[in-house]
Amino acid sequence: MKRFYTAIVIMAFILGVCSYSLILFRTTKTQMVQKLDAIQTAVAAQTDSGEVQAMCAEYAELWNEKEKHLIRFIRHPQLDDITAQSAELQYLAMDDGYSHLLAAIARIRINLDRVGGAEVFFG
Amino acid sequence: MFTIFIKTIILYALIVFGLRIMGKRQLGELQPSEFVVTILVSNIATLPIEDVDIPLLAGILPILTLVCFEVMMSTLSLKSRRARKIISGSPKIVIRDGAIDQKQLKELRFSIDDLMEELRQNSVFDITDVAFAVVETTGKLSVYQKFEARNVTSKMLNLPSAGEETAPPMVVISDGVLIPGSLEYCNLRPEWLQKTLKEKNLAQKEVFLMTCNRQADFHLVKKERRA
Repeated sequence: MKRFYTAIVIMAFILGVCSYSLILFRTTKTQMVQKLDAIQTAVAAQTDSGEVQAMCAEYAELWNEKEKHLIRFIRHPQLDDITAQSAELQYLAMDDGYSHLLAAIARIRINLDRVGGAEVFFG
Repeated sequence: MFTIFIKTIILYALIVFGLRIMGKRQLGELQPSEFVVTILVSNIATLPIEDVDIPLLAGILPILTLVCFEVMMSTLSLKSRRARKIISGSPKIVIRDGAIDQKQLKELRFSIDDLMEELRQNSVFDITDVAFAVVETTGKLSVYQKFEARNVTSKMLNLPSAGEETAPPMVVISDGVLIPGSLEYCNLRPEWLQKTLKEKNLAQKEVFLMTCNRQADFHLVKKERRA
């Protein structure tokens, strides 16, 4: 029975790690989506491009910080895509038209949804 | 490269730990569920080692899950006969009084060659000598021979038992080193060992192997000198 109880404890630990990774990703995703929404609103309101650039830089910095934790639980290529796209944002914000910036934001949203989808079992 | 090195060591330790939790079994004696877990664990472990893009946790979690699940299932099958039957199956009789149950063989997908091979491994060369042959849940064949074909045993000859004295010999010295507890097992004292070695003109470090039983019958192998 000792082995059985050890297995139960390990199983509980595994479920704990799974839940923690899911909560960590969901919290991160919510924060990142809020930042992206704010950038999109600023673009729509035709805010000064310098301010949009600063918002994008802030977004990229926050993502890099969060990625360090997520990398322990999620496959790296999925996160690398988002990191690369996040790094581009502040430079795309320098363009007169924001179409490329908005396209990059849309790509990041899709990638975030994909990573989130892979974390939850849908069959 | 250091990532791979560290990941490999961690996964090695984890698999050893996992297999220890699963218990001691030889590969050929694994139940179907244990066999599946063993294959899956070995496969999963290679993924984070080969691919640095896969987090270590993505290897650790499934391995631990499989091992824990296996332990839980084996505990369940230990407690419940029905669960045992579902998880491990049940032994099947394939030969009864020298007659092969062909239907059962077909169901087990056991060819006649497989059956004959298993019988030969059990030192049975004539099917008519078999009273019962059972395919166990591990896939091994257990054979119960007819009385006239069985080996003569001391019980059949009504020979008296030697009792505890039949305990097997134990290694006392291995490569010049005294094995702790071995002299106690043989009910002997260190003085006996020293005297015996002196009689043979040997120092302990010159002994490659020494085995001894409880009657103090010993066997000595001297270390070969290096050329």
